[in-house]
Amino acid sequence: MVKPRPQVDAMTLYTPGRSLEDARQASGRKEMVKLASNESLWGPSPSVITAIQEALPHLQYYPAVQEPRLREVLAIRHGLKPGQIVMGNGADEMLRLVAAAFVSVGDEVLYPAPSFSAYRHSTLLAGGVPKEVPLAGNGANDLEAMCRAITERTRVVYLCSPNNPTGTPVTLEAWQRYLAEVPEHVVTVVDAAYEEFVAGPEMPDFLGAVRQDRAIVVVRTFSKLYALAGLRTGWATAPEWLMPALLKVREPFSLNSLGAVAAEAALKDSDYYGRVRQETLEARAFLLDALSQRGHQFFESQANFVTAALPVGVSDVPNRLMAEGFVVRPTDAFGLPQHIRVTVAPQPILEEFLTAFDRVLAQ
Amino acid sequence: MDVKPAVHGGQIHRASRDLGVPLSRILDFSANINPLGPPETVRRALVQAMDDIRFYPDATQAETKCVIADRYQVPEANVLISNGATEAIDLVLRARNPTRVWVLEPAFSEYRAAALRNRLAVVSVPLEYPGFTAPWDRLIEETRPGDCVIWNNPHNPSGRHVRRGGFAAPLQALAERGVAVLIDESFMDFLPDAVENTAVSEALQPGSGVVVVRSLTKFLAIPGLRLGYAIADRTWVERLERVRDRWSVSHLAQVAGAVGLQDRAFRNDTANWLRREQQRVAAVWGPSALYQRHPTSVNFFLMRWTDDERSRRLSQALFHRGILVRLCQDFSGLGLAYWRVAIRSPAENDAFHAAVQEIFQEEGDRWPKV
Repeated sequence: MVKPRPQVDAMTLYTPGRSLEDARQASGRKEMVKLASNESLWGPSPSVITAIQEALPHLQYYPAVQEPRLREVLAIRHGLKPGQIVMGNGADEMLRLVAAAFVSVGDEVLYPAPSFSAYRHSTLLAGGVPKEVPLAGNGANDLEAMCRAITERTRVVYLCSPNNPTGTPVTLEAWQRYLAEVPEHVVTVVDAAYEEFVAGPEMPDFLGAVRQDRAIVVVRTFSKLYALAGLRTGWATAPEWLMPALLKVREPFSLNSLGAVAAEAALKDSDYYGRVRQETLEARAFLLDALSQRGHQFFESQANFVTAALPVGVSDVPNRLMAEGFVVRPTDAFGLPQHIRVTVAPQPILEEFLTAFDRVLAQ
Repeated sequence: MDVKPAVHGGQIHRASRDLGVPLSRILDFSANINPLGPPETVRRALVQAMDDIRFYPDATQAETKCVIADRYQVPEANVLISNGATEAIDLVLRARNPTRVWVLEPAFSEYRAAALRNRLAVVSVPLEYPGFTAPWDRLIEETRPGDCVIWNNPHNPSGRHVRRGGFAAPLQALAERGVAVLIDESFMDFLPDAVENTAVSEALQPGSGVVVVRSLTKFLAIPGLRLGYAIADRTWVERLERVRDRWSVSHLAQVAGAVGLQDRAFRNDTANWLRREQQRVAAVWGPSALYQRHPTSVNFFLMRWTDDERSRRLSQALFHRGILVRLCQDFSGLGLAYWRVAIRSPAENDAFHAAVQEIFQEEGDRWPKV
């Protein structure tokens, strides 16, 4: 009888946010709004749709292994070199590649908790030993605690900023101290999937650390601001000396050609995405303010979602919200019970959501 | 880490840049893609699906899985949908973590590459010439529990296939030894009688160590979209799901698979085209003192030129005319004298043959005599 590697049995199947189809079936409603997976309800730019349609006659060709034009556009946008960029199948693949390339059996990997499940998954796949570091009270990654937890056996540290599911970013000061303290035998991965929504002054410059050739991998995605979640386009940037290791463990055609075409078109439409970003930030401020006025506890999010505490003694809120036509994400699976994560949507939708939320809590 | 990037056919993007011509002006015989596709039904469905790309893809791939299960008459719980066949191959190795990976070569370069990516030891086993037959007795003798064998049927790059009777008993013997067998059936859809040739029933046996991996990108002509699947014992499917990246199969790939596999007219047209062109290509190329053409069951064939130099000069001259073939110098046991050539539309197949003849007439005299 053929057996799997022991780590496989330790892994759990991921619990994704409910799909719209699921939610429609469970609630019996046709009209549902999905605020569960931090997708952009503004949708992609019309020029992205045009670019995909123009690429449809070319599906009979394999994708380029690393689309050179897209890397170039990204490099120019972010002041990087094309050789510092690797494209892939969503941020998930990028996160996994780092552990696959750098973690040997028995090596320790640090990551924040509660946070995104991919860090533990990537660690176990590589045969690493997962070490969770609790968040600071404000929901940000606790970089001082991370540094204290690093040992001789630590090979990779995953950071998430803004952290999912709290939305709290690490501060510039904390990042600079971390860079000064992290030992050279550690590769630090910054999952910056929500970076585009960070708006505060004096925020950390993760890409700057890559430009300075530090052992940093910054992971980004086109699934959030750019509204291309269905196409699976992610990328990572790292110093060129670190890149061959990542490329060697990557499947050559993991990024489909439409994902590459769409990402390139999206980067060229700064007007549209600048507007969407601005509206998202305004809608987030509106949501945070509305929750505050109602006396709810929540994390000060810098992402396109807000995570709020549910009042003590109230249960079954996600299901009852679903009956009202809204799918939200309970954060229990992240290790944060009695909270829900709500995607920031255009303000009129949020107004309707708040009315439904009030109604559910009043029941 | 000693991992070299795998060499692939379909280097059309580079050729287009080097030659300064658009993709559509290049005749690519190096990638084995169905020239009839993608089906019109798929194109229409993709345009309609465009609105939904803002949402994450269905992480359970429910609709595509249902269509595949129905099309091949297997339970849904035995099907895993993947981001191209290469992801499925990677997942099998990732989940099983075999002690040694026995690769029957010459073969698709991704088997070896995937094993190395997963830090696994590779044992190369030569297929037996001239029929590229698998040395099953040797495998049964030398493999140990915990090993994994990778074999493909129909065989890439020779285009030959083995009927079930030729492998059912060896697979059973390997399974009894606790050896996993991954069978890449990426070109099975091009055979008229897949049922007689597939290892699906072996894969469906409870507790079986056989995994069948297939690609939909060749048959539906959507390599740009990436879609493949695996059929295995359901406990293995669950394990493969556990080690995967959650949303690896894009929404548009899922739509293309679900719609394309239900297009019966496209399937029939493909079968008719291939039967006709296999015969015509065989007749046009005929016997020659300059090359030997291997018989094929699928949409590509393997040929061998008398010498490396002739092969090299000819392929270069073709390249400058915008015609790409797959040189086989990196296939273990083959070499520069071997080409793998896709079977394409009648006009393209004729253009390819005519170009070879012309190059011989124009330049052949100046080449060194063999």
